[in-house]
Amino acid sequence: MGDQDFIDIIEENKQKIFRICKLYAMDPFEPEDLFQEIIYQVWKSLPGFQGQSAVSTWIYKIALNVSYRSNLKNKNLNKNMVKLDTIEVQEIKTVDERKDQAQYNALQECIRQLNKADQSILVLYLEELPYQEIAVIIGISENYVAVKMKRIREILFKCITPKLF
Amino acid sequence: MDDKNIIDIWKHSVDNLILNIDHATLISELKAKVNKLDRSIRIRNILEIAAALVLIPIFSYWAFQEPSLVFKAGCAITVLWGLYVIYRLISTRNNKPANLEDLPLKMQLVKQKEYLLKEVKLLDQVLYWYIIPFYIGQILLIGGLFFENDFSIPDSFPREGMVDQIIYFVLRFLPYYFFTMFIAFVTAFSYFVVKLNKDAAKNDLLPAIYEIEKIEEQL
Repeated sequence: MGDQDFIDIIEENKQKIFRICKLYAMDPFEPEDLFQEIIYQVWKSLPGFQGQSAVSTWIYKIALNVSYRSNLKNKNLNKNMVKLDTIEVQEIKTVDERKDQAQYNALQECIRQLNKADQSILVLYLEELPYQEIAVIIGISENYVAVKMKRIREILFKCITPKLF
Repeated sequence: MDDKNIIDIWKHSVDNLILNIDHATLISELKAKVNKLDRSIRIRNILEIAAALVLIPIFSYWAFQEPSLVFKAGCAITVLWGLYVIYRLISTRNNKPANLEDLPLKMQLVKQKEYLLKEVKLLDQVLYWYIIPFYIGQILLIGGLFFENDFSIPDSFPREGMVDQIIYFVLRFLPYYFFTMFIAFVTAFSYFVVKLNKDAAKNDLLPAIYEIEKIEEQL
């Protein structure tokens, strides 16, 4: 894979990567920091990408792994997090900004009430990945994903319904 | 409220953000970052090995110059200690998982935990592989110098006046004072190294391991 392939991959997947960053970013890291580190790790892992799985599966694995690592708060594991000056995040005003933000905050709050493993399964589900792909990314069986999702959905709806209505 | 509503909220969560990536310079910046990191790792490794290599001629020369066998043994232990410390640090660092980011999450957690457990072991056992050989080496060095050299004051030294008596007394006990101070310093240094390492394992590594184990149980 060449430089242009890398750029294409990043352009195609940057929104989904940033959604994950927004959820997992925890002090002292901002979503932008996580985003930059994920881009860096994608670049570093690119030579080893054999194309055995879909590019999106590969990207989600890296995004989740980097996010988990950043949450471990271990100096040694996170001491080499990179900063990339060529990446900039700008916020724009939207018409329904307040409503959208309130809904997202409610969702984020409910996701964060789940345990870490369930959070990652739910995030991949919200990204509309099939159970089979979620199983590959997490490293568990497809059936187990289905069982877990049933319970996660129950908890999520119980939490979010009163917040949105 | 159904799945579609929730997915919509999730998917639109970054609609108000523009992610600007300067394609023209991103690749060169990434290459520069990788090179910089590789270079700093190479320099650090060279410096560590050079530090160990410097120990060998200095202590070998010192051991050659000093007739005391105890002192020679202290030099030998110090050189071996220095080499072993470098070997241990480098081999542990080489165990650090590299490029594991594209493994499945569960597998990546297993690898991270393995690495952190090795680090905990290294820090927890610092007394045995770092401090004890260092301590023995230093005690033999100073002991060899102190006990096998003549620090007595010549009889011709004047001891008549009060000032002479004080100077004589100070000089008489000066070697004991240095010996005691050196042992105290080495002991204090050893204590702090053990404490720092134990604290690092307890406060930095073990919480991360517990966190990984918690997620592993959830999976």
